[in-house]
Amino acid sequence: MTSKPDIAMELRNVHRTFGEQAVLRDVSLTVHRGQTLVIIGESGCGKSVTTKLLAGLLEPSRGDVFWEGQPLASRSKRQLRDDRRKVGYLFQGAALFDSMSVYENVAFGLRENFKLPEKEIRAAVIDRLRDVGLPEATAAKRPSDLSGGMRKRVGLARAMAMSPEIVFYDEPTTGLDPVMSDVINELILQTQARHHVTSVVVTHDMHTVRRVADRVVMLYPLGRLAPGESQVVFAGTAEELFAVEDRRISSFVRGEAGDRIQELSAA
Amino acid sequence: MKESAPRWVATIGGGIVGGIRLAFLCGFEYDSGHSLAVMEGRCLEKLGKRQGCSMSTGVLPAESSPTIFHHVGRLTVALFASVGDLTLFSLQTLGWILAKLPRGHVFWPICYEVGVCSVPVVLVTGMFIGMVLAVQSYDTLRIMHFESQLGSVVNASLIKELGPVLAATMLAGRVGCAIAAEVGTMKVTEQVDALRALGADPIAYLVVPRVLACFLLIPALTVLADAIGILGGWLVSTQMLGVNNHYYWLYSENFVTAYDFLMGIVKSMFFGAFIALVACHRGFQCGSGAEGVGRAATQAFVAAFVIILATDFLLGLLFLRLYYVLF
Repeated sequence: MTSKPDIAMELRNVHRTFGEQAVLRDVSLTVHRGQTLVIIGESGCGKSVTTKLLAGLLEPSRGDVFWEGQPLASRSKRQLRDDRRKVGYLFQGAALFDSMSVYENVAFGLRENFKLPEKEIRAAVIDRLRDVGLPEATAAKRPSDLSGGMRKRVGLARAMAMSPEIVFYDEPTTGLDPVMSDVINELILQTQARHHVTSVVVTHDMHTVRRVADRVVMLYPLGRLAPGESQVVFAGTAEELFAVEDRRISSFVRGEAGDRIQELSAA
Repeated sequence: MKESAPRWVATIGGGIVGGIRLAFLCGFEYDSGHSLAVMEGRCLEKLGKRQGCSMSTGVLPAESSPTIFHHVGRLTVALFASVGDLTLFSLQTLGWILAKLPRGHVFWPICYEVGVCSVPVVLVTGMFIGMVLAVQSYDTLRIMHFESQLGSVVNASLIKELGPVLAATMLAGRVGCAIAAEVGTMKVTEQVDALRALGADPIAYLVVPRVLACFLLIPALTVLADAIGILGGWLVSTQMLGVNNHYYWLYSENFVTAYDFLMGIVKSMFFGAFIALVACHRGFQCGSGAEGVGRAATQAFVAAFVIILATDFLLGLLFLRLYYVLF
């Protein structure tokens, strides 16, 4: 039996443009198995694009994405679909299917990918909902009946339904009150502990960084970088992040506008 | 001026070739999350470099300003890209239809929405079309003393043209716009990405059931539109305008054949498939926000209506030729 490689996912010299707008330039980063990687950075710096590239939901304009040492581009569509079962994704707005109940949302992946009897699907759905602290009665509700925090939790239950090996969290605490944010942070930790998953978290919430990060990567908006400068301005542990002297990083970490306050007077 | 003429030609020529290339690029990379705008931008960028200007932004070298030919070239690229992309999107959908039929719990609710919910609007509009046709044709025929042949004009027009086109127009307005808005909203709120992340192909899950529902149910709506239109035309002709009932049906029988009815049904199936394909395609190409969704719905209706009329003309010609060959 061969052991799985230590690096679960990797971006190598990835560029991504939308039309003429470049979002990522020559970005390389690795996601180690079993760790929680947190990607931080200002709005519009390409955090969500980076996670979608890693998850295989977007293709790079240039460069390669690797899953377990194999480039994604070399996989057939069928193989890619099969491998995607190993990936769970909690979207920024939860992206629950409006036309379905909570139960159908959580059961969706199981129904699409496996031929399971309804009894097993029901048991799995109830288990996943309990994992995220939601009662069985939630299953009958529609996404429009749920609060923001509950939607995120249902989104996480749906992402976890197929027992993925890697879970992506795209801004999991954005728009939530501090208490619910902490509940979500706790859920990220519990999911990691219970299911031994690799996690990639995109956030600009420093509280989340402190609580969940094993490694942190900070991206910087391309528009404010000098030519040739790396877009990954920091890669290290959370402790190192909070101790770093670089003003671009320290002002972000402390939530200080710094030089950007001048934008107000310029306007 | 002498030097600029070949450049204009090169711009338009480059636009056409670039458009075709772009169409193929768009289609092959469709489900990987590339939008048409992205691909168009890429192609325009390359094209612009070749022409010595940036066509996508309209920025030209300092010594020249954009001419009408630049705009024509740009529009040509966009048109070719859009048509090519829709073609490849349709082929992908066809591939999925052949590979995997949709599941019942997904398919039947869509059938209900497309078929059953469209019945009232088709009945009301069909009735009025039949009545209007009788009123409008009566005067012309009366001048020529042919009013007894009103049944042939009303029923032939309904069976051959108005029934299928009317049902298709209602479907494009009611269902096409709703599909474009629904798929567009799903794209904007990342639900399309969520489908992919959960191992479902968006084309197989969203497009195939909608195309099949429209393709299979529009014949039933067409038959309803035909029937109610015939009833409306008959009521007005015989009860209001005083046309003799016997001659009304006699001339109708002489001028409307089973071939006409069948071809009307076949035509409607093409319309149904095109309506759903165009609507889903616009939904997938939807821009961000409420404005993008609204624009996708409008574009879906306009594009579907143009395609319905163009297809009606082409199929009309084809079926006429076929009639001469067969009979």
